Parts: sequence; structure tokens; C-alpha cells
Amino acid sequence: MSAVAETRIDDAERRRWRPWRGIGGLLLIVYGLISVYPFLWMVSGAFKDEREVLSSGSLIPQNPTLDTLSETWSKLDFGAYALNSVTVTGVSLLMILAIYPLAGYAFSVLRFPGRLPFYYMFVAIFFVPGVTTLLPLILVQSELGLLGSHLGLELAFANGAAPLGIMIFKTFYDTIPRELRESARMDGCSELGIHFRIYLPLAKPAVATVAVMCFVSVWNEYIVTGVSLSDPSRYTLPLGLQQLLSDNVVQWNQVMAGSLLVVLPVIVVFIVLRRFFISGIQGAVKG
Amino acid sequence: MATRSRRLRLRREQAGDRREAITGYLFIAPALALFALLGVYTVAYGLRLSFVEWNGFSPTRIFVGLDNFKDLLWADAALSESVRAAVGRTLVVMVAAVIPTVLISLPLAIALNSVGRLRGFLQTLYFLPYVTTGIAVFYAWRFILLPDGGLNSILTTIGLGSLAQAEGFLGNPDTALWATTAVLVWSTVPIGVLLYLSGLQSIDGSLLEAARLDGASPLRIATTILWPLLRPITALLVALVLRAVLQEFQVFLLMTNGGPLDKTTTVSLLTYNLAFGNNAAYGYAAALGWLLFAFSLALAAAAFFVLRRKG
Amino acid sequence: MAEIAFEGVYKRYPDGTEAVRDLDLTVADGELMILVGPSGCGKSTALRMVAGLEQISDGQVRIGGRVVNRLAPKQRDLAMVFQNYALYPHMTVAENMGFALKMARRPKAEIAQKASAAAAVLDLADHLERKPANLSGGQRQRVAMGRAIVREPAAFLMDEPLSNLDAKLRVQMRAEVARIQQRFDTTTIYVTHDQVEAMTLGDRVAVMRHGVLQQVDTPQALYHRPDNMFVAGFIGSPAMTFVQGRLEGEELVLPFVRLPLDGARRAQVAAAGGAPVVGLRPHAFAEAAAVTPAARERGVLFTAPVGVVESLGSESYAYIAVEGRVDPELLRRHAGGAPISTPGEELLLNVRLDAETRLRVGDRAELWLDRGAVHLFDPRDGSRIVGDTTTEEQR
Repeated sequence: MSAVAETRIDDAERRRWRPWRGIGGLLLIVYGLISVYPFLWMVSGAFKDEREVLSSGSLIPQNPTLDTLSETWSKLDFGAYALNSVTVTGVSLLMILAIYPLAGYAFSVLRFPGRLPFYYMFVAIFFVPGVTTLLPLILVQSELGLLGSHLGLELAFANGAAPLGIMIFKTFYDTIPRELRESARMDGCSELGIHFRIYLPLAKPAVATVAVMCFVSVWNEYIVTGVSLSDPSRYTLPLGLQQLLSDNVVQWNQVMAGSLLVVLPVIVVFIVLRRFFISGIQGAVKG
Repeated sequence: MATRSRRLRLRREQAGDRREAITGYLFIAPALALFALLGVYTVAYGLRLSFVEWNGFSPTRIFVGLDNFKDLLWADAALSESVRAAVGRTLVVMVAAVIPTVLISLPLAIALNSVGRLRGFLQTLYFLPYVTTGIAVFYAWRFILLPDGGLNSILTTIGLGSLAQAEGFLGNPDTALWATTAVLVWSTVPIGVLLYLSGLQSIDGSLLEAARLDGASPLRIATTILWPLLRPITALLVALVLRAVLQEFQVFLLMTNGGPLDKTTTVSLLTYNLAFGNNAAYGYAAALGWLLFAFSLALAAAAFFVLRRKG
Repeated sequence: MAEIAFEGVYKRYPDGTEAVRDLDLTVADGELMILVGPSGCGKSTALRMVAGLEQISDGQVRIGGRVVNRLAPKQRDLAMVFQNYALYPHMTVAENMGFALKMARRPKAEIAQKASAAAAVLDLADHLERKPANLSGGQRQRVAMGRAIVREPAAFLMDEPLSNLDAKLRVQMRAEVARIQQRFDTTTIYVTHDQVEAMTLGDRVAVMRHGVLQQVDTPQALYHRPDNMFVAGFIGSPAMTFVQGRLEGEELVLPFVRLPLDGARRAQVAAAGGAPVVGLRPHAFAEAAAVTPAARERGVLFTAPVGVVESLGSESYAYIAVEGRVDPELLRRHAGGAPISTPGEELLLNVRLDAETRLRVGDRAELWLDRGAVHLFDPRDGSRIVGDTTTEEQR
């Protein structure tokens, strides 16, 4: 009896909510389109030739061609740029993952004078605008003889990742019961052993988060790279892409093809590691 | 006598803790070394620079005290005028970016939260702008906003041809700032969606259930229950967007480079151009950078205060 | 195998809290010593100082005669079982149990052999390749025990090892712990806040309060001859009731009964001020009708109205409202932290009855109080004047 009454209420409920569901669904679809809109144009432009890209406002290429992609690839040494991007991103990531898990462990677990001041100092870097330190950074790089080298960039990016890396690892390590460390100490582990055998293996999500977030920001980095590198053979993908736009006549089909080449690896990595990425940012923001 | 020996032992105990302290310092040493080199030294260098006059090439740097700051703020008519204009523009962009970001990402998160199967796919979709933010997507937007680009052609197609811009949205001084801000919003909405989504997931479901049984409409639920509960998240989101407007200038640099007619030059872009533009004035650039830093810090402190009070 | 000795051990935390004060205690080789007390009494700190997880502020800890104050945990040859087990989540049961041996660079074959031997003892042989997340609470607890066993350490340290189990499993594992400890005959210090666990498990029990060791003795001795009001109130379940008494001529007067005292006792009570706190355990009482005439001689009879009756099946307890509340401030000072059964405004005397008792709420019960089972305490410092003098046969 009551079950029947309940379903009737449910029906009324459902009817009352249906328009709202419709609005919600529409919103999701429309914004989904806005979200991917520029990527659609990248793909579209990359498959148009140079005449069509200027004349037709249509998203779907009339005469799809692969020539644009191959021309763009060979016109500027995109292969070399890609290699440079991979190097700079890879080395930066290695530095970041070599340095910050240990620091996070120290800030989370170990007790030493100055622990909190040092921690807040690292977190505070987050609030220093990049442009404030950009000029001094370039001058310091040149004093150290690192200006224009990949190493100079990699060190700068590794340093820039300090707030994020330290915060994420510290917050993650804070959630590990301290008895684990005590137990490991009784079992004969050194502090280094505890970190590498117990804490780091448990912190895979944190490692993935830091890796993905740093990958994205270093891969897309344009400002520091732009003012630091002068030798085109060392250019990364964003700088290579920028060259396409400094031509006298901008060939937008090639710019779109280049953009696609820059963005594609990030999208692939993001889709593969989406779970870590989203939970990681949530964690980083809460911490 | 007994107390004295006890005090001695206590001191020795602290010596026992020294092992842990040394380990601690060793563990943070690499991070600290890197920071000392590229953080402390750089900041100190920048601070020194803000008190000198130097174009970057001449061998001499002239110490000018606080003159750089004075020039930027009032003493140099042309310069202070452009700083004021940039500050005004930055404030406009702040407001114009924050409000739409909140108004778009909250409903989007609520809608996304009620979706079951497609959630992962949609999340990926909405998140693409965040992970790809950079030169490539900005160029794509430039392409779309061209005179014969995608946006004009859509407007013409759906019968809103009167809104189309003949010089392109970035070429018209009246629309350039709004178009750039729109792209900025496009790239910050993902953060908003993500934050609100995690906020929604932490809200007790029975609360919403009760409201539904009381016959509250979704709009009512959103405004009277969700919005107050999500206020701390909104504060955080606002702080993050404001920080982005204040500090990130890639979007302005790459889409318009401050033009047309300087209509899209924000404070951070102005700082960048003072350092790396045609007439480099390192002292001014450094000084303006510090003013920007002070402002960011005040903003962060305000955000922290608001978050503390509400949280 | 080793003896563990605390010699004037003192612990002060950096914030000034004195967790352990001048602890002197020797745990004999092969002995199972229980440290018991309410939370914050310093028992865990004492254990952690033995383990090397806390620095020792003053005094010495010796293990097998060797002073270990400055030694790192791994140099002390001890194995510890934690309340939350502290199993390594990313390692299998076998890896968890073999981790310490691996750290000591023992050969793989030996590690595997020892882990499976321990697993056999603990009935974990089928679970060696599982991760802790896939084990039940009881199995996790056994893995934690196994991790300690494979080490073959000089001593086991156990910090509330059963507290995370549900009540039934806890009783079961209690027997298991006793069995293992006897089997390996390894010196063990076992920390718990649960006096039942302490009483059933320990060779000897050390009761602590506010960082100070109150008494160390066998469970029987603690029960019958508690050194002070705190130990008296803490040990025994249901707990002892404290009643204010008064020396009047040759008798000790309680509001509901008068107890004759012999000369020696009278002198002791008089020396303590003449107004002792009287400790009465539920087991000091019986229904008058159920007491043999011979036993009746040893006690006194009185009647009182029955409050609540609680039946546990094997026996019943009644609460009887009486006069004679002890000054609450005095109780707090000398017995605070112990589960003293004096709730509310009136004093409720907890009395044991037979399981088959006919008494109901509101009845007037005729009760018998064993004179020899009456504890008397000095109200000035809570120390014992007279303990339980009942002989073994009389019980």
C-alpha cells in the first residue's frame, strides 16, 4: 500500500524535475562544445590547405589534406623541437621527483628546528608573481652561464615546482599513520629506507599528480623559455609554434597544425592519467 | 643536585634528537639549495634592481633610490598614466573574469554531479582547457576570432550578423579586452567545475533528499542550500582566478600583445614589456614587479582571511 | 631472551608535560608484564622509551643488562606490536613478516622459511600472499604478531594490541597472545587500558597513574591488597565502592552497618585519623540466606532496600542506595581516573547476589558483609590501612 503511494510521489517528483534535468543536460552539452571548440578548429585548420583556411568559415574541411601537417612538421624543425620539449620536460620532472618527495617527507615526518618556517617559505613562493622574478632570473642565469641552455630552464622549472611538489607530498605523507614509520624503525630501516621502501611506494597517487601537473605546465611553458632561449636549435615546441606566427604572411592552416602537434601529447597523457590528475588537483587545492 | 643532573640529561636528550634534525636538513637540502640559487638570490637581485636605472646593456647602473617607484606611481606623467591605465584594466578583467567563472562553473558542476555514466567523459571534456592552457590554444582562439574566423561565421549563420566584427574581435579596440577575458574565463572554468564538484561530493546527501521531499525546487535548493555550503569554495575559486589575472599574462601576450592601442595591457604584461620590450627599463620593470607582488600578497592575505572566517 | 629494567626513568615532553616520573620496574626474563592505567597515565610512553621511539629524559633503561638509552630502535633487538598494527599496506603478509629480516640482510630462503613457520603457528598459512587490506581485523592482528615472532627478538613490546578488535574477538585473541608468549617464552611488556585484559593475561601487572607507578604485583595481590584507593578502584570488575567510615569505640561505623575491629586494626585506623575510607567490592557481599553458618561468623548482617538488579546469568548484581558518600574532591584526588561506581548524588553500593536471587526492585534484602574483605584507606593520601584478610580456604 505504502509502496504504491511512494511510487506515485516518485512519479510526481520525476515529472517536476524533468525540465530541470533537461536544462542541466543542455548546459552540459553546450559547454562541452565550447570547451572543445578551439580543438575542433585546430583539427579543422590542420586539414585545410592555405587557400581554404582563409576563405571558408566552415568547420569541416571541403578538401581534407594531410599536406599541411607534413609541411608544418618539416618547415620548421618540429622533430627537433619535440625532442627538446621531451628533454626539458623529462629532466625537469626527474629533478622534481628526485627533490620534493624527500623534502615533503622531512616536512611531514621529521622534527627539526625551523621546520615550519622553511615549509611556509616554500609555500609562499606560490604567491610570488612569475613576472616579478622573471627578469632577475634571466640575469642570474646569465651570470651563472646558464642563459640559453636547457639546464638553466630545467633548474628554473624544478624550483618553480617547489610549492606544489612539497605541498602535495607533505599533505599525502601526513595521512600515513606514523606507526608505519615507527614500525619500520624497529624493523631496522634508516630514514632514507623508510622513505623509499614505505612512504614513496604508498604515495603513488601523489607521484602521479605531481608528475602530471608539472608535465603539463613545463610542456606548455612559453614565457621563461621564450626570453631565455635564443638558439633556434634548442627551441621547444611552444617556441617553434610561435615562429610560425612571426612570418610575414601567417599561414593559419600551419599554425593550427602546429598547435595540434603541441597539444596532442598533453591530451593523450591527460586522458590516460585523468583519475590521478583530477583527484590530485582536488587534493592540492584542499591542502 | 638532583635537579642539576636532570637538567644535564635533558640537554643530552636534545642531542639525541639531533640525529633526526640532521636527517631533516639533509632531506630538504636539495630543495633548499635550488631555492637559494634561483629563489633567494633571484629575489634579492630583483630587489636591488628596483632601486637602479639600467637598460640592461650599459655597463653602469645608477642608484636612484625610490625614484623608480615614484616614477611609476606619479612622478613620470606618461609612465604613471600607462601604469594607472593598466591597473584599471587589470581590475576590470578581474571582475569580468571572476563573475562568469563562478556563474558558469557552479551550474555546470551541479549538472555534472547528477550525471551518472557519462561523468568521466564529460569531466575529461571540461578539463581539456586547463591542461592545454598555453600558446597552442591561444593561437586557436586567435584563429577563431579572426575577421573571417569561426566566431564571425557562426554569428552570421545564426542570423546575428550584426554582432560580427569586421576587423575581428581582437582587432577592434572595443572588443579586444572582452574577447581576451572570455578566453581567460574559458581556461579557468575547469578549475571552478573541479572545485565545486569536490565540494558537492562532500555535502551530505540526506540534506538534499530532505529538501526534495519538502518540495523545494532545484533552483531553491541551489540558492538556499548549496550556495551557502559552497561559499568557502567560491572564496577559494575567486582567489585563484584573481591570482591568475594578476600574475598570468600569457593570454594577453600571445593573443594581442597588449594591443590594439594598448587596450589589453595589464599590469603584469606591462611589467614584462618594460623588461623585455623595445625600450627596456630594468629598474622600472623590477619596481613594478614588486608593486605587483605586494598587491598579490595583500590579495592572498585577504583570501586567507576570508577562507579562515568562513571555513 | 632478556630482562628489562627501568631505573629511575623519567620523561618530560618539550611542552613540559611529565609523562613518566621516576619509574623503577624490572621485568624478569620470560615474564609477561602488563602496564595498565587510564589513558594519559604514561604507560605507552614508558613502552616507547624501551622501544627507542621516545627519548629518555632521565634514568636508564637496561635490556639484558645493557643500557640502551642512546641506542637507535633497530639496535635494541625488540619487536613491537602496535594498536593499529602498522602493517605495510603495499606488502603481502609474507613480505610484512619478513621485512625486518630483509633489512637485516638475511638470506631469502631463511626469510621465507621463518615467515611460513610463523604463519603456520598463527593460522595464516593460506594468506601469505594477500595484502593487509584483504584481511579481517583478527587476521591483521595475527600478522602483526607474526611480524614480531619471526624476528625472534629479545623482547616483545605490545601497545594496546587488541584494542581495535571487537569484544568477542578480543577475548579470543587474548588467549592467543598468552599462548604465543608462553610458547616462545619471550620477555614481554604489554600495555593496555583494560584492567580485565591486564588481570587475565599478566604474570605481573604494573598499575600507573599520572606518570607514577602505583603498584606492581600479581593480579591476585593487586585485587586483594591494593596499595591505595586508585589501584583498588581501578582493578576489579564491577568496581569497588568507597564509603565514608568512622571509628566509634571498638567499632567501625558505616551508615548501614557496624563492623567490630580488633585492637591492632583500631590502632592503625586511629593513627590514620579515625575516619577511613572503606572500600567494598561487590564480592564482599552475599545474601544472608545463602551464607553457611560457619561463614556467617566472619561477617555482619544488615538489611537495605534493593535498587536495580542486573543479572549476568552466572551471577547477579544489585545496587543499593545507602548513605555515606565520600567527599567527591577526596575521591577525585586519590582515585580519579579509576571507574569508581559512585554516580549521581546518592551513593549506590554494588552488591553481588546469587544468580537465582528472588530479590526484586524495592525489596528489603537481608545481606551479609564479609568482615575480612573490607578494605580501609587513609583519607589523607589514599594509602591502604587494611587490605583483604580473607584466607585462601575462606574464599
